[in-house]
Amino acid sequence: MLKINHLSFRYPKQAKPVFEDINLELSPGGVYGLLGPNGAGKSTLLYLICGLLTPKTGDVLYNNVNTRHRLPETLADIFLVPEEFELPNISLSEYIKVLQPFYPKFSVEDLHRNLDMFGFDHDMNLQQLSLGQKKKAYMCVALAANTPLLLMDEPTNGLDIPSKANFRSFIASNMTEDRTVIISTHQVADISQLIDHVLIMNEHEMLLNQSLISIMDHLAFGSTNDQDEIAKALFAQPSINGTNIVTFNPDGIETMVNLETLFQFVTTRPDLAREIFKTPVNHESDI
Amino acid sequence: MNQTFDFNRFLNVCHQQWHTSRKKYFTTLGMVLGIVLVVVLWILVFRFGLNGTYIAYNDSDPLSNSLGIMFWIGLAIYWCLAGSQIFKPLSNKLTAISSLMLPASQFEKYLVRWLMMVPVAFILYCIGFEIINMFRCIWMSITVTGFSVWHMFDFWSALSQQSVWGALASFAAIQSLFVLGGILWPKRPVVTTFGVLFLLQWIYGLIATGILCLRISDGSWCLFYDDEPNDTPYFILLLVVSGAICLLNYTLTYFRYREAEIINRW
Repeated sequence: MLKINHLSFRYPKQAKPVFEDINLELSPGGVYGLLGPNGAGKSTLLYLICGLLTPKTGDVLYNNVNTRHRLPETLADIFLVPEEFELPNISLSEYIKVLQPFYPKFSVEDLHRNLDMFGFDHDMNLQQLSLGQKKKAYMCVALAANTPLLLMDEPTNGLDIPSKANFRSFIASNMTEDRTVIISTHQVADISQLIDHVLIMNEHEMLLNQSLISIMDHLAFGSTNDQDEIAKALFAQPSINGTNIVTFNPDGIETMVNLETLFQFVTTRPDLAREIFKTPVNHESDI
Repeated sequence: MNQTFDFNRFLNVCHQQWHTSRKKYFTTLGMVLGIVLVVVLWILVFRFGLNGTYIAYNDSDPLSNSLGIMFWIGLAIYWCLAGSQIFKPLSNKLTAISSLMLPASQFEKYLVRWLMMVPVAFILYCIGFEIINMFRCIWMSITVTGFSVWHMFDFWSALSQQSVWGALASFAAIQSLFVLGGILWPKRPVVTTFGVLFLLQWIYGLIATGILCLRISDGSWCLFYDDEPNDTPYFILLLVVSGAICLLNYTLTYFRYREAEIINRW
C-alpha cells in the first residue's frame, strides 16, 4: 500500500540531513507507532508521505502513485492530523458540509458517534474551542472520513488525562481491516496499548521496523534487581520498580513489550538491534 | 475521474473556498471601499459643504472626474491587494497543510482562487463602487441645491469606452505581477512585489529610453508613426501586450503553485 524508497530529506539552509536513504513498506491494516526523539524527523516523514514536502532523493508511493504529485484520488485516501492546525471560523456542521464531498467514505454517523465519545455538541463553533477541544474535534472528523491511511502527529499532545484514556478506545473502535494508522509520538505510554507495529527513528535513519509479535519473538522484557541478570541483559535501564532489562528470548515466551525500554535499547545500541532482527527466530523449544 | 479537472469537484472546491474564506474576501473589499467612501464624502463636503449649491452645465455630474480617479485608485489598491492575498494560506505551515491536503487537483484549487481574486473581485468592486456612487448621489440630492440624481455619472456606460478597456487591460497586467509575487513571496507579497516592480520599472525604463533615443528622431522605430495617429492600433497593441503579460504571469504562478510545499524554499 505505502512504499518509501531511498528517501532522503534536508531542510533548506540546514547542513545536516533530517534522514537519509530510508526504506519502508507498510501493508494495509494496523496501527504503526512512529517513535523518535525530538528532531528525529517524525513529522517530516509524515509530511513527505502526504506529498507536502519534496524529498532530496527517493520517493513515496501510495498504491504505486507518487504522493508528491498530490493527485486528488491519492489525497482522498490520506488524512493528516498535524500536531498544530488551524480550523476555519465556521460551525462544525458547515465544516463537514464543505469537507464531506471530498472524502467518498465520509460517515456522518461515525462522526456523531465519535463526538459523543468526547461529549461534544454536534454543531459547535470551531473557533470557540480550546486547543485540546479542537484537537479532539479534528480527530473525530479525521476518523469519520474513513480514509485507508490516517496519519496522526503527536495526537495526544494537549489532551487532558481522561481524553488520553479515551483516545485509545477511540482509535481502537474506529479501526478496520483495511485501515492503516501511523501515529507519530514521543509519549510512548499513550500508545503502548494501541499499536501493533513499531517504527523507531533516530540519527537520520530508521533503526527499527518490526511488528510487536516479531519483537516479542526476538526479545524478552522484564524488570529485576538481580545484578547477574542485569549484567547479562542486552540493555538495562534503572527505574523506580527495579531495573528494566531487555534480553534475548530463546524460549519464545511472550512478554509485554516495554516501549520505552525498547526505544532506549534501539537508540543506544542500534547495530545490535539491527543484527538481532536480521536473524530469524530459532527458539530452543523448537529444537 | 479526471485528476486535473473535474467539474463537480471544482464546484465543491468553490463551495469550500466560499464558506471558509468569504469573510476575509469581504473584509479586504470593505476596507478599500470604505476608504473610497470616506474620500468621496470628504470631496463632497470640501466642494459643496453641508448646504451647497450646484449650477448644472450640460446636465453633467460635478464629481465625474473625481469619481473616475477614485475608481482607478481604489481598483489598483484593491486588485493588487487581492492578487497578493491569493496564496496567503501558503505563508504559514498550519494553513498550508489544510490547503494543500484538500483532495482536489492543484489546477482546480488555483482556478478557484484566481476566479475569486481576479474577475469576481473586479465585479464585486464595481458593484461596491456603484453603491457608493448611488449613495453619494442621494446625499448630494439632499444637501446640494440644484443637483438631481439625473446628473449622476453613468458609470456603466463609461466602461464601454475603448480607453477604459485599455486601462483595465493594463491594470490586469499589473495585478498579474502581484499574483505572481503572491506565490513567490507568500510571507510579504505586497511589499516585496512592489519593491521588485519598482526596481524593474527603473531598469526597463532605462533600457526603453536608450532604445528610443537611438531612432526616434526619424520615426523609423515607431510602428504606427503617422501625421495623424490612429488610436485603434495602439489599443489593440495594448490589449495584446497586456493579455500576453497576464497569460505568462498566471501560467508561471500556476506552475509554481503546483510545486508548492509547506515550507518556503526561497
